[in-house]
Amino acid sequence: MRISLVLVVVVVAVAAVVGARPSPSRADESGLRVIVHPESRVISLDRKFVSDAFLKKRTRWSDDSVIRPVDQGPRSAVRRRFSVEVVGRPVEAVRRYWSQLVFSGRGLPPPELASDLAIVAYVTSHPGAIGYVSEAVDLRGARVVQVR
Amino acid sequence: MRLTFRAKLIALVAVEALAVIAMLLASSLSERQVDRELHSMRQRLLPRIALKPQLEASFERVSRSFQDAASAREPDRLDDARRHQQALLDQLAAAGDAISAPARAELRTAFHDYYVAANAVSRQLLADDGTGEGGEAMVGDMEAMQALQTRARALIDRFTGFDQRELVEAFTVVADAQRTASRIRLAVSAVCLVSALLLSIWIARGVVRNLSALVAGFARFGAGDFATPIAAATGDEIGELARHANHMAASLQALDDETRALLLKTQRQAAELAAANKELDAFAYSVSHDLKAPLRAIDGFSDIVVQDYGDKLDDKGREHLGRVRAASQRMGHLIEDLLRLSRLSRAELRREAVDLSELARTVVADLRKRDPDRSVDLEIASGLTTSGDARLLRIVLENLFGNAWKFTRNAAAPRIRFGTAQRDGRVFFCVADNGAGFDMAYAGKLFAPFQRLHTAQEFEGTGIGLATVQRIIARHGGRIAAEGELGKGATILFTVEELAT
Repeated sequence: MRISLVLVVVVVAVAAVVGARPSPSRADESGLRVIVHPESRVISLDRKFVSDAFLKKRTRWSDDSVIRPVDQGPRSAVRRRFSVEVVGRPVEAVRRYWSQLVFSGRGLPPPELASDLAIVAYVTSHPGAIGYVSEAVDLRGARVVQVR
Repeated sequence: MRLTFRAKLIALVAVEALAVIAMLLASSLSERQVDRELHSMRQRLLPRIALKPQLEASFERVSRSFQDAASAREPDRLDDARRHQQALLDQLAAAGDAISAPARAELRTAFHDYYVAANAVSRQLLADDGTGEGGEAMVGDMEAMQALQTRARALIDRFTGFDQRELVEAFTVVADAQRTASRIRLAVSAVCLVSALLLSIWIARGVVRNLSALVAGFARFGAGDFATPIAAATGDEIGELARHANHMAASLQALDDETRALLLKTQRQAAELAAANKELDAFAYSVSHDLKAPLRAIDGFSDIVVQDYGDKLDDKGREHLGRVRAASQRMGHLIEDLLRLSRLSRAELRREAVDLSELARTVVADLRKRDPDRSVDLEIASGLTTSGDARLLRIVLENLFGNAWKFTRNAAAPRIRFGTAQRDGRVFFCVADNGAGFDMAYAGKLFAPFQRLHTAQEFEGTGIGLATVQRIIARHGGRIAAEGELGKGATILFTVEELAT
């Protein structure tokens, strides 16, 4: 535990030195876990890949199966953190982005589910699904993916 | 049909004029039909073409309003969407006949459905500020809304665009109209041409057939066959010509018959005349011949009486006997001349080149020899030649010069001239003297036999000379005339060969 704490401090320090750039370790630290369907073989993902997947700029996994992103509710703290740290935009900006796509008919946002549990349930029941949950929740077999 | 060419040609022109008018009429009618089809096509299609961008823009404005409302999270902007939606529906209602009523209804429903769906989605998005209750259902709503949007756009496309079948139908209608138009034009043109052709052939055939009949007829007439008339009994000008020609042929036939009859009559008369003349000549010859014997007896015995018994007669008796002898000798001369005249009529004419000047000089030489005491001024033009019987022409000159010699006996300075003179544009030979002359009132009697304008006491002669001259000139086919004035001289004009055939 101590060691891990020291590690985190070091990582944070390095991150601070590098810049304000969000980092997966920081996400991890703030209690955010990106999860995928239990049968997925993915171990780690680029932050860019995850961002694109949630903005549906990228729709296929490397094995060509469909990516099924699932969002938390717009007001949830996890969503806000994910939006800023992984997608790189505030939730409002993302929602504006989706409004444009929705009403011009060019795309549909990922479904928004109200709780970590619902997200876990969705991810474990939909092959190819990817979501994010807070640290505390029981993952029920969903795999955690490292975000670099 | 009895029609003149004039009438036929007028008919031809009239038919052609009617045909041309019909052609123009048909053309303009069919062209108007084509125009009408094209116009209706434009009327239908152009407003529809114009409607498309309008509907699209309005529809996009509605979508954008929803988008703006959702993006800005301002529910008030949903009013904009409602307003734009109303405008869109109004536009659709105002489109009129540009698109069909069912299409309008369908579009209206599609617009409405989309509006309801988009409105619901917008409200949901606006309301969903909390933890997010929408989930997959909301994405489903969005998807449904997008489907409605896609459908509305597709409907706009479909109803304001042209499907190919419709275009093809429109063009087919126009093409049909054009084909009909060209068919009508073609048919009318064909009718015009054929009618013109038939009429022309009809006229030309009439002309040619009648002309042939005319030519054949005239050929017959030319050959003297007037019996068969020209068979061109048409009512046109050639028919008229043929009738006139037939009439002319009939007249010619009558004339021909008459001429033949006259000719026959003339030939008969000529034969009769020739026979009579022959008889007369024979009669004259035998009469003169037979008369000569007693005359010779009278003359001879009178002479014997004078010779043998002259001393027994007194002067009175001898004078009487002398008169008997003179009379019998004169009668002998008369008979001699009569014989010569009758011989002349029968003598054959031998034409040859004759030098009249030379002939005149020998005649004059004879006269001088016979009467050497006379002094006459003679003028004979040289180089007067003609073609005729030299023997007969010598008799002519002997008579004419003899007359001139005789009738100038009492003239103070007798003068005789032989030359040429012009009368009525013709050149005559002439023998002119300044002797006793004659009264022109008796000119007609000059050439009749035994007619004398002077007594035998004044100038001797039998009255046969000029009759002989006239007969010779007539036998040569020439003309003879006399001019003169009492006491001033006479001129005898004659031609020899001008009327010779």
